[in-house]
Amino acid sequence: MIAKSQNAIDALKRAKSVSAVIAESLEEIRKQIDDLKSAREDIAMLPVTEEVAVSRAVQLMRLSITSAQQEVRSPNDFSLPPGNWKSQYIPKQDFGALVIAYLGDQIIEAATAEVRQAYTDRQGISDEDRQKLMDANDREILSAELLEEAIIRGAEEQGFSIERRMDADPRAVLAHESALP
Amino acid sequence: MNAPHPLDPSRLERLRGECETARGAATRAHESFLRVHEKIGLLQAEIRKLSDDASAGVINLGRRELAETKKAADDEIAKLKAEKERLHAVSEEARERSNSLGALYVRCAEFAGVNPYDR
Repeated sequence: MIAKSQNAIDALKRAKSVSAVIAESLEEIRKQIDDLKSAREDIAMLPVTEEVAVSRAVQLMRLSITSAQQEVRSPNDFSLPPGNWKSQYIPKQDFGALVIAYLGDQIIEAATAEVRQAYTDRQGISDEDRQKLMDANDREILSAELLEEAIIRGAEEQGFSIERRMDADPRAVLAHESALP
Repeated sequence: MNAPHPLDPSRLERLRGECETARGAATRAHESFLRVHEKIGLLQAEIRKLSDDASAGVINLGRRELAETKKAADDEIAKLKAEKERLHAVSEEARERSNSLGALYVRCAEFAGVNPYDR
């Protein structure tokens, strides 16, 4: 009877240590998954290349210039007597729009220089390189999630019930046994 | 259902089973909580009625006897309240587990191209 009880106590101790190992492993792998997901966000936020940034700035400026040129009086109007202008001159016409309409090229030049200046101390990344980094990161996340799933299934086999994360990757949760590490 | 490794569709069925078990456990836990909640209400109503009947002379109950009965009921209510609190925590935990498993099942079913609400 005593031997039986001792065996039960030993089994309980083993179970406790197994559950502690499972909990530790899960905590570690889940932290790793969180870190990898944060890294993914960091990759998404890496700056684009200098040329892409410049072209974005130029495109935006050109849109503003076109819109301002439609808004303010056309230079051709000034070749006619004021009485013949399509509408009367409004002295309080948006000064910003006037500047953009008439000094557009200089503004584009200045904006381009500013953007280039912002790139002196950092490097951008091309879409292709970003995608490569993302793909590598996604592969790492999936590997980590497969490992997490393997731990959970291993624990289940030992009789422990482990709750899966609500946002676990279905590819890991539904993975075939042969796909688990 | 695309993955760079083989998938096992039976895992989805298993997850669905776990999901239903968790939902059942959450329902049972909530029912237990409600039963205790009702018990407290009934006991409180009973003691109020006893008090009213005693003061109206409907029943013959001495002051001391009434006080003792009330005290016993209050003690019982205090115990039940503690139990209710415990059951509330259990019920909340079960509900969270059920919701979490449910959300995971929905995502996995949708990934597998199965209608998660088709039961």
